[in-house]
Amino acid sequence: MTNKERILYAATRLLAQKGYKEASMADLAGFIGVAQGTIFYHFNNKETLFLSVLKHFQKKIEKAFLDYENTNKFSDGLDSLLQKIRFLFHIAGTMGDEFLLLHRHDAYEIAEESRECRRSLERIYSSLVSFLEQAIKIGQADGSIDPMQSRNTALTIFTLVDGFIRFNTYGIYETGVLYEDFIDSARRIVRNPEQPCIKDVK
Amino acid sequence: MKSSAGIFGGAYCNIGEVVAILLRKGDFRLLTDMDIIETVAHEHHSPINRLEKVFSSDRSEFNRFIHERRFYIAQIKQVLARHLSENESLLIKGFGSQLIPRKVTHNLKVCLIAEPKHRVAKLQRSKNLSEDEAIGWIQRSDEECVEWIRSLHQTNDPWDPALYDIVAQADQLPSAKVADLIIENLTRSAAQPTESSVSAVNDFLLAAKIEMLMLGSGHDVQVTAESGAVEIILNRRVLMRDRLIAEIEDRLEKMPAIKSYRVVSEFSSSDSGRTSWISEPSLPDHVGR
Repeated sequence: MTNKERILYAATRLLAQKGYKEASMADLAGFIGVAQGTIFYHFNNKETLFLSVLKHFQKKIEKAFLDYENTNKFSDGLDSLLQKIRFLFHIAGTMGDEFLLLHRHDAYEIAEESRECRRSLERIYSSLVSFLEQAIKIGQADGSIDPMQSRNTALTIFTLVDGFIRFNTYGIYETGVLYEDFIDSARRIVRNPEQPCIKDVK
Repeated sequence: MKSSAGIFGGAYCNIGEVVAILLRKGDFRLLTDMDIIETVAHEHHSPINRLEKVFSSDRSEFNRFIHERRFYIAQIKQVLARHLSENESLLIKGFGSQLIPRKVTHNLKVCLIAEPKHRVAKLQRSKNLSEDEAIGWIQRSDEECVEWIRSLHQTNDPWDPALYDIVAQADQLPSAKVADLIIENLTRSAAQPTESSVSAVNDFLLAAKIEMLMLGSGHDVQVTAESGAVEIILNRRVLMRDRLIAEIEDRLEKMPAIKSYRVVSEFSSSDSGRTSWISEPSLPDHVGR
């Protein structure tokens, strides 16, 4: 791992867990055990670092989605959507710090002033929603997903997924217990009522 | 039940040789990690490629929302505990041997280790590697052991004598002598099944079954049992704790094998408002100072 990668990794953790306002560059330097100058060599200031963390997250999920699309086969669009929801939960588990950062208010506050931050957030959310939307389109074409569902179905499903992840992130309830019920509910929301009910395979 | 031995250790520390001698000299049944995994896959229809990764330090492929890795470990424990409860002398070789509780005193815990120099030279000879390649390989292999032991026993030393009944230096003791030492210790009274060690196996089996059912239904818990009395430990604090405990108790009430149970949390109700993600941030070893 290069110094720059270490800084990004540690900054993601620190910013997610302490928040943008609370986490200082001095904290970060102490956290990784490098001089502050080393951090400033790679990132001009805290906002630049924060934006780099968001961009890095965006690249990570785009790569994860691409790898997922290239290595998985689905029986139809509905199956694809439900498997993708499972995959979103999986990556939310492995990228806990990044999703916590998305669930904090900081990024949205910075986005009010910073066009770059706004664009980064927009790209992250677009990636997350498009990932589901592709499956919904396939499902509407093959008849497994309700053709009457609007283009906003992907957004609706994503808000549910995001809420579920937030439930887990903040330790509100044991989401593992609700996991299969969630998948089943998503299936019932989108499935084509004209099609026979075939439960998704885990 | 009969006395058994769990054999763990470093790569290139003659474990294969010692096991082969033991199998020739005694009436043992060998149980490797792969044997256990294949049984789990067969009985529970769990994917073998996922089970194989359970012992690896790379946990990124497992779904944390459903505690997937720990669910597979509970399945492995259940199969292991069932084997222990049968009337066979087992030789349990590998990572799985570490899952057997210390209270099962008729299971002899054995560790084989050697000086790194000896192991590197042995690997170089067998695989025709350069010294640097061999050192790297041994280090990576040891790191897997460190991670596994750390996850189970809260120590960073996989060869810590406190974890074993016998720690044999493979570079100082020939394999035949190590095998003799194991057989000699297995015949001693301390390694014979007692009422208490038999009860420990039954508790291990009961706890594994319940842990498997609880994790399978999404509950993030650890389960222990003592003379049939079950303790469910919540691994994570949640805000809606009372609701969660009520749901767990509902499930436990429906399990007839349980004599009594207790649901405990490491976090008292007074601190339930403080969720774990707020704790002081720390970095994993590969990123740390």
